Amino acid sequence: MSTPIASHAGRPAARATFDWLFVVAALLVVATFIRAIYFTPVEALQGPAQKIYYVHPPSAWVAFLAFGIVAVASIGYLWMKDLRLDRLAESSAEVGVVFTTITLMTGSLWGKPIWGTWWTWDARLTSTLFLWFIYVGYLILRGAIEEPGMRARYSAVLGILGSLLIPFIHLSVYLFRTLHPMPIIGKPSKPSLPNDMLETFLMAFFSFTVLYAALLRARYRLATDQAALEAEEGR
Amino acid sequence: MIPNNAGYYHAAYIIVAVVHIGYATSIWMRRRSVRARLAAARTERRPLR
Repeated sequence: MSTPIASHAGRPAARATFDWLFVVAALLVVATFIRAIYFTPVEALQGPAQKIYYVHPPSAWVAFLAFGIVAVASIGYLWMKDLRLDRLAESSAEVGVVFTTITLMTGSLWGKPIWGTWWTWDARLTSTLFLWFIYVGYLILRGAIEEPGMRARYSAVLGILGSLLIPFIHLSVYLFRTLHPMPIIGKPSKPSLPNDMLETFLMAFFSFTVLYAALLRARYRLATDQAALEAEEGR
Repeated sequence: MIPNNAGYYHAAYIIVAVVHIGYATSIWMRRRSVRARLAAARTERRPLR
């Protein structure tokens, strides 16, 4: 006999109202772009292409955060069998894939002028691409299984296993000889950036994190409505 | 001399904006479609008085 699953899908879905969090997130991201473009100095050696730094590492941070939340929600699901946690994991995985896509694309755009190539099979880049494939696979797996309990269980396992790659990706620049630059912040010593650049960098981290929260909330509401529809059509 | 490579960062910022706006729009459209189907399913199920 399968374990009973709490779906909470019968409850009416959240109202489609004006989303203030989206507006705040959009304003913060626009403010970050304006500060990065007009009020942050150009780095002398790399030139204007260095300004990709204000979108590339923050996107990578949000992708890691999103997949970390997938892992935590998936562990929670396997423990409590609450489908709300499964929906949270699904929502976070989709948003994480979007941010990982941006990380890979902006990294490539930085690599061309600085390294002279769009892509290199370096440990950091390759493992990030692998992470992207894992979570795209996670979303495909979810689409392939109809039974909600089985879908949640299988995808929880994949969601947890995929997240094990995150510390490896972060440490890959220390473990291997890579072309990828060392961390500027998130390292034991002080951040190696002038204050003007550091403030823009931190602002970008904050605004992208708020954007993640807004997208996650919207995507979770969609997942709740989808579950209610599945329950309604199953009656 | 500072290298002239502004086009790359302009492209990166445009990609970030387009991907996020596209994704947010896709969530909004999918939710609208799901809610319409949900409303139709609930109307269909409601007994006639």
